[in-house]
Amino acid sequence: MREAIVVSGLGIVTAIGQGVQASLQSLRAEKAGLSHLDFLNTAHANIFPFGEIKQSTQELIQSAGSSIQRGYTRTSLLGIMALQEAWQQASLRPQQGLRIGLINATTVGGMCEVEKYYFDLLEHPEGDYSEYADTIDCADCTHKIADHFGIRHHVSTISTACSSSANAIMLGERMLQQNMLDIAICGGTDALTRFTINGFNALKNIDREACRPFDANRNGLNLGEGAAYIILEKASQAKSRGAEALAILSGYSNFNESFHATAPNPEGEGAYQVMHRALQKAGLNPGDIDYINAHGTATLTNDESESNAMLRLFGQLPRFSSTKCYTGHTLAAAGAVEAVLSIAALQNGLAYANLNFETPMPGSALIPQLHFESGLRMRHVMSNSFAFGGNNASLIFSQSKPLP
Amino acid sequence: MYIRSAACISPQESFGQGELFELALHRDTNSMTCVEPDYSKYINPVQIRRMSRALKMGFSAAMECLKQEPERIPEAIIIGTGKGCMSDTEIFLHSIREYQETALNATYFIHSTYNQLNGMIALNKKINSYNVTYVHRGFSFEHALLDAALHFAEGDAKNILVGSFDEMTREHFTVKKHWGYWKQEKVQSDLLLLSETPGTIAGEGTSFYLLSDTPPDDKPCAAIRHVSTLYKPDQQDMQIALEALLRENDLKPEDIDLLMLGENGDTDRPGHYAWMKQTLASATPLYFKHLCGEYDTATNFACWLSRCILEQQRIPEYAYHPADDRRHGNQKIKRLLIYNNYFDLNQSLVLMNV
Repeated sequence: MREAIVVSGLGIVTAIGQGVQASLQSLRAEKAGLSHLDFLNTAHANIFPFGEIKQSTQELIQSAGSSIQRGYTRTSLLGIMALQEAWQQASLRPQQGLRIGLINATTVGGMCEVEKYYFDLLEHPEGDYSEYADTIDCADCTHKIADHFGIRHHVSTISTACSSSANAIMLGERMLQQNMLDIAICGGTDALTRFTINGFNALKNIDREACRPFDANRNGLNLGEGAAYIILEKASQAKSRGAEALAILSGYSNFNESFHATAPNPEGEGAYQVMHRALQKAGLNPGDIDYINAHGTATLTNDESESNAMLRLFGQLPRFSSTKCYTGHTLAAAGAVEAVLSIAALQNGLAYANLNFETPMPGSALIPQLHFESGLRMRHVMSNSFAFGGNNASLIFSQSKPLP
Repeated sequence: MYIRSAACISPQESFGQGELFELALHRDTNSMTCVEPDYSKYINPVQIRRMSRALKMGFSAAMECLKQEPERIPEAIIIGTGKGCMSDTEIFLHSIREYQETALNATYFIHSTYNQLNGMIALNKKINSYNVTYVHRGFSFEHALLDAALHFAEGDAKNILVGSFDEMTREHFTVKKHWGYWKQEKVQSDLLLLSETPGTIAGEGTSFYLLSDTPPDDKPCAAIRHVSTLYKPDQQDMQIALEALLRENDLKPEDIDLLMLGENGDTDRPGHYAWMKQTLASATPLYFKHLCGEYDTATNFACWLSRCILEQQRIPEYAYHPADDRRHGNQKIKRLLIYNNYFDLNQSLVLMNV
């Protein structure tokens, strides 16, 4: 028998703010965090808008804490900043006898630093590069974050492109159910890199303007950076240790649609299956979902596919929007970033505006949430994450307390 | 979890047969590269040209593994890789510089994505299922195994494809040399365990398994019983983990017949190998890093070798320490414990039996 797994902490940092409250302020004001780049050296800095966090890596070191000196990449620092918020909210301490696991996600790990020193190291190996040792892989940031918080029981990293941290959240739930952990810290972190920007540019799917999710004239995504974590534990444990249950993780699914290496099935078969299976896992009907935080990258293919899938599953759609028009696409962090925003919507009865929408897409003709709304009655919310390689994920969060 | 089928590409002649290779191959370059198979049996010519060595090796191993059990369609694909497709990452980094961020070929970027092999296998075999990639350095393969074990415990899968892949490139060898991973002096691989100097030698490889919740009824079948991962463990942590492993599997220390040890000749990072041999003194120690070199997912090669030993009840001479005369003798081999130390950071225990 599955026991309810609850969320007892939320942490987030993106271009729209550090912390849940700052993020909600931007969302309430319908204010995007997109801009040209100030802190990353790339030929594209002034061509595309990005969801860049407006602190230099040096400033991030100060924000993240005085104990941090050398060797922390931007990826690690963003992760530490986001987790600090969740850690405090869940009242965690390293020595309280709980088996704490960190299930992290990233797409390029320390590439933000590697790409700066890589050729120097190859061509002038006599120099001192010791502060960058081992930042080349995905585990480095996880180790740094784990060490900062004294987490040793279980450390792991998942990389399934844009659904990475949604998969981290699922794994946390499953490990708690099988009694392998007492606390699962799940989420992801990705910093903007020249590597990723050039990769997506080569794929020709970055918009030169602010992205327009679900609009007929959408023209690609905007990249962003950020980190987010949620703390999961069994409902009984949260109760006994006096931690507030912010939401229940009631359903989830991971489903590979095996259609194409980078493009989704335009019919939305994979997206349909993964949402359907998440509902089944939660024991819910489509009509029970009150808000969908869509994957909504604003690429031609994703939004078509996701729209068709939502139409097929829901018929009459609940409120839905993409928050990538605020944060940019934060890649491995996106699943957790949007899980945090979805939980905040659930807790506070909010629906976020889908910015830059003008014209419905021919065919599905869906109209997303156009303005910020509050005071809504929210029972269950869904958060979608779809990725390269057909790797789709969907999460459902539910009220932990009966609604009045 | 029963190993229904397996395929391994390694620096040894391990591919194309489920059996132990007879003689070990040696290298004197401090970097053990794989003996590569004829990829045209598994990949069409157009794809071959586009794929890096890591992808070709991983994909071929996965296809061979699935081919051996055609009736069993996996309900999950779970793969571990420490570094992913390193050569694609390197090529894309170089082209960003060379072409000054213009007119880049997206293929290398796409292939550098860590879950690329997962997607390719699913796409090629039309496997719509759970699909995840673990990228946690020396835990990558172990966490893929743990995820598979979770699925079997949840009762929602009967067959799961689990594997790992990692490649060593010339450039990555240079980068890691800079951080002090490799020996300064040239070492012949078969004498690795006798070297008394810092660092080790590089390696690479891929293995895939079709894991099943039930064994075949017509032949002996090796199984993976327990996986523990320990982050920066001290000796007490190791002891607690070993005791838990024995307790949860209802075993006494003397029930472990063989120890498969990841010793790699690195005097700077001795791990807890000496303690392990002392604690499980009745188990005969075996070794594998002189056969595959050191890399993030080397435990997987140990797993493949151990499966052969358990199923064939035969220990090849090359698996013993070159300076130790101790041999296992003729008693039946029932259980084997793999202990690996990845540069003192990620350490793991994998219990197998037959």
